[in-house]
Amino acid sequence: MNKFLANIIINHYKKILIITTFITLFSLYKSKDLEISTQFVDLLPQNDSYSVLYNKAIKKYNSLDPIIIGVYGERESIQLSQKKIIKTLKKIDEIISIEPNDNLDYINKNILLLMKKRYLQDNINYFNSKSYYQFFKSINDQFENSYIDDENNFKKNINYFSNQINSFHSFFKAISQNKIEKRDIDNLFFGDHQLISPDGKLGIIIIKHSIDSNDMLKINDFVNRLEKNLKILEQDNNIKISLTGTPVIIRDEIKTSTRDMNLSSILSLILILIIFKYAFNNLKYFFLASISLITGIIWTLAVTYYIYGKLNILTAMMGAILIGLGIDYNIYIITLYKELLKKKIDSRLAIKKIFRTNIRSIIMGSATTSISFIMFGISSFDGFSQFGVVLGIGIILTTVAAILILPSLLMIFIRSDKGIYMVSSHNIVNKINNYPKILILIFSILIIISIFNLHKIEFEKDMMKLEAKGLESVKLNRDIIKKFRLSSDISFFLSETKKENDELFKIIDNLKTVKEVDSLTNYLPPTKEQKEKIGMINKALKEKIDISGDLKKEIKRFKNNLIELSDLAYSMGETDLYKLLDRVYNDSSLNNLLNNNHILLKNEVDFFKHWRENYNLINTDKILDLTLVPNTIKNSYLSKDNQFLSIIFPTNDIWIEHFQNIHLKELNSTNKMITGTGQIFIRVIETEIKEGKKILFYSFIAIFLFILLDFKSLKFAILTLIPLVSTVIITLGIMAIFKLKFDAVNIMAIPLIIGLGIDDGIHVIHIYRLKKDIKSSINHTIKAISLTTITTISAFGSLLISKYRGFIGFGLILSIALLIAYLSTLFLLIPLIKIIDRR
Amino acid sequence: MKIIILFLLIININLYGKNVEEIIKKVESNRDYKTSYMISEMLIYREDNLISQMQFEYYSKKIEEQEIQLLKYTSPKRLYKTAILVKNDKIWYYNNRTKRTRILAKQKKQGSMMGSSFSYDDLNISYLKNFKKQLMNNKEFYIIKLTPIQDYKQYKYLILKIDKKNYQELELKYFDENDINYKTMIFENYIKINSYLTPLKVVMINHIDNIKTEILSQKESIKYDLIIKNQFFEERNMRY
Repeated sequence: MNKFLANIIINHYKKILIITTFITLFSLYKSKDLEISTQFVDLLPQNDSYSVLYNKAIKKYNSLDPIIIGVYGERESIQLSQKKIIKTLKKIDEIISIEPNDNLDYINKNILLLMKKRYLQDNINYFNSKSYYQFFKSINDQFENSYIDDENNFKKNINYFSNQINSFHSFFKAISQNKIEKRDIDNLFFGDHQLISPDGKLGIIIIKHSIDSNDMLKINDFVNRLEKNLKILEQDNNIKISLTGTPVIIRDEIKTSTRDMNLSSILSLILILIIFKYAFNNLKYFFLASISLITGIIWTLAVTYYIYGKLNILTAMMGAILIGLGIDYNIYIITLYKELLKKKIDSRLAIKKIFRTNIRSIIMGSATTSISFIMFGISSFDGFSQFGVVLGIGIILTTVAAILILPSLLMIFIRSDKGIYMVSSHNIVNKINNYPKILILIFSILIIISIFNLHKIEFEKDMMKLEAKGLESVKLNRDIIKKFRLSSDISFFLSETKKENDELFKIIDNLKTVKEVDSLTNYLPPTKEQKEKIGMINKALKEKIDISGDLKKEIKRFKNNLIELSDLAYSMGETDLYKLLDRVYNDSSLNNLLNNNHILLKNEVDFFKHWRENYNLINTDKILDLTLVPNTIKNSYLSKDNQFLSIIFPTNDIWIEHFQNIHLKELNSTNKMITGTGQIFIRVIETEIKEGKKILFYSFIAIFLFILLDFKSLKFAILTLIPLVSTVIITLGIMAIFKLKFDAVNIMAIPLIIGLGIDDGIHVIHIYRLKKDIKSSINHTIKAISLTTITTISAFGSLLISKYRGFIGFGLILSIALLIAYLSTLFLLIPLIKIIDRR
Repeated sequence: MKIIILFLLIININLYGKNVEEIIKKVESNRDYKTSYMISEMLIYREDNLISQMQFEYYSKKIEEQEIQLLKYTSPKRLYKTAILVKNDKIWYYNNRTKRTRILAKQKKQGSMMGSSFSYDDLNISYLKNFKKQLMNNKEFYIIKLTPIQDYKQYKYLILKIDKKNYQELELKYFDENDINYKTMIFENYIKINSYLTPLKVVMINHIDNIKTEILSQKESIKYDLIIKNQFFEERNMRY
């Protein structure tokens, strides 16, 4: 077989090159359309319940994950610029809704019916105020009942409360200066709908859009366009605009992972070039090997395009992995070719000799690596199966390219070589020969230490720790959590009926880890609840309320409430809020009103004339139904087939492990299928662990059987596996001791080690069985396995320059593992052969 | 055979039932003082950053099996003389800056105390009277599940970890209706004063908002069974 193959290549090498060139050009043309999908949902099996719900919701509503626009600056610049931002957003077709802005007429008109029941009583009196006395009294009641007496509620509503305080502050200032405007009264009546943090330094706008979350290209284009349009507003408005939310993070991931892959591939090629120059002293070898390698990768990309159409976040690394692995097969051929040329052997004869002695071990090495990858393919976890299939095919194709193209090129371009071989192995060979037992003992100790530390390995459940450092989107996400107690990492659920939606809303809205449920229920509460509210409103309106009383006492009470709330905020560590409250109660305008009531009373008639106009506009008796809800609201929550979407915003960062556990447990306690980025990420990790173990086991068995079949010797099959076992255990031990956590990306490295770590052992044993002498076997293989290890480490090590931290961890673990595999082959396997196989 | 198993089971339940009552009695005997006084510091951390620091004097007295507590803040300056009185299921709050004394709503007892992870209810939990007790484990520590009998509580049950040697409370975990451990109280640095075991450091971790509150008591300030008149615990006394 080897002879036959050698003859074909020697006799038809020009034809082979022409045919492979055509195939490569066609592959290149096809693979240009290959996309990278960075969504973790793409890693889950299509029939996974989380994946099914996610994809179902995307189909019905296009986009689930909102984009949050963050505006950094001073309060006034933020307020002024928000209007301009909304104007810009209105011009973008894909934007469905803008919060806070859309539907304000509907919300304001139905403010009482849409309000939570527990706040209604105090608010009815507030809205129905006919005098400043009644107005201040109802505010005081509200402050004391809702905030001072209920600190948890106070904590949850700090942003709403600080907006309210700011509206009061503006009102006091305006009234002191006798410059009260309709806008000040409206802000007091309906509330200031702008979302600005208590310190006034960050404003947010939440937008929903119609871009399909699965369409990476459109997401990329939309976010870039949105960002470009908004950044223009920064210059004249003294503000800084950032974007966050899953679509923005996806865009950033695509950007960084594409950059990382390009740069690390270039770097690994440069490193390999340097190694070739040092090892072979002739750069021609590098260029010829690169042609063969790149050809194999291009073929793989084309096949991937035909099978999957896109790469996921794990297969995105295939370029770097294939460079690292594929170069090995070229190195084995070149090492021997060079040695044969040095012995003045004709190039054709050299190729023939290589095929006779080395091609079998190259194919064996490639086949075992390929088998270990293809075992990933049996996984029900799409992330693994795609990774396995793509890389399994990639290994086969790069090997085919190495066997067909490289010998053909060598025969054309390098027919003689007198260069010096730079790698010397004399010392190492002696040491292995002289101290086999000591080396085995050292490795045994390392393995034992590692086993005792294995339990310390932890799992990284913070997806943000995989992202590039310094991303604006991640920073804004953290700032929003800090300043608004709201995270953009949402979950969602679908309901078949409005009743089911309302019931779940009620349960989920009361969960401790939930800040807000964005649902149709907010705009259309259950009819029963509306009736109760109308009953409460009617009852409150019938009650006799004193319109006049001691106004000064109520203003004093108001000031006292501000002081007490400020003390409460102080003790809670809410610095921004207590400073705001201190500013308001120390402000001369409030103290002016306290000392001179007449300033207030002077415009009481005008104030309440407008106030009452607003009051008369609000709905206090008409039950709302779906026909009264504006379409912009309906379209956000109600699908064409009448399914209801509700989005859950957590109170804290779901990537903080303990909060994540509690939040997901709380959501699970509802017994409703709820999914989102957090759930999918955790599901990916859980599946990776489960499937990873399965793949590890099956790969081991498959490789063992394959080696057994090839060597036809149980002893040599077991010996080949020893460095592999040692590599896996010691690598895990190093991770445990140096606190390197597993994460969703680097966990892939462990099953990969099986395919990578076996190669050196196979070559050593293969040659040993041919030569029957350990010293000469080491001499024959050490150059090649040293070089292949260095080049593969260079390829994976080049991932360390990545911005996406998931790739860094992956590159680091694989580089460590490859080094351990190399050392285990030299200093554990060879001494073991020396001791065990005394022939 | 079935009868024997049932009999053994009943005996076992009774033994466990008896044991758990005895354990709890011993735990409570460690703090069976009539009155107490101490100066404590309260430190509040959010994600390991110190966000608030307060000092207060703490007075307590048992009157007709009810424990009355009075906290008087001594620092920082803006909270100086702020006082909290917890008596007969009621809470009074005095703010020295506004000179106002207000009675707070009953549900406030379950809520946060001065922005900390502690609720007013956590200050002194009487395990003996108000809970159904179940010994879950007695290997290394006594682990007891405490389920409130009558009153509405934010928690569905508590899990108390007790040192077997001297019946010190070591850890108290709070679980809600979804079996989520949302708060954990940890007792550290025990010392013996007048035969009463006193933790100098009590930590409450709120796992939901990631806030940790430490109450550190000054060893020299702690006094038990001192004479404090009942009138001291009246609302009007809060302002002095």
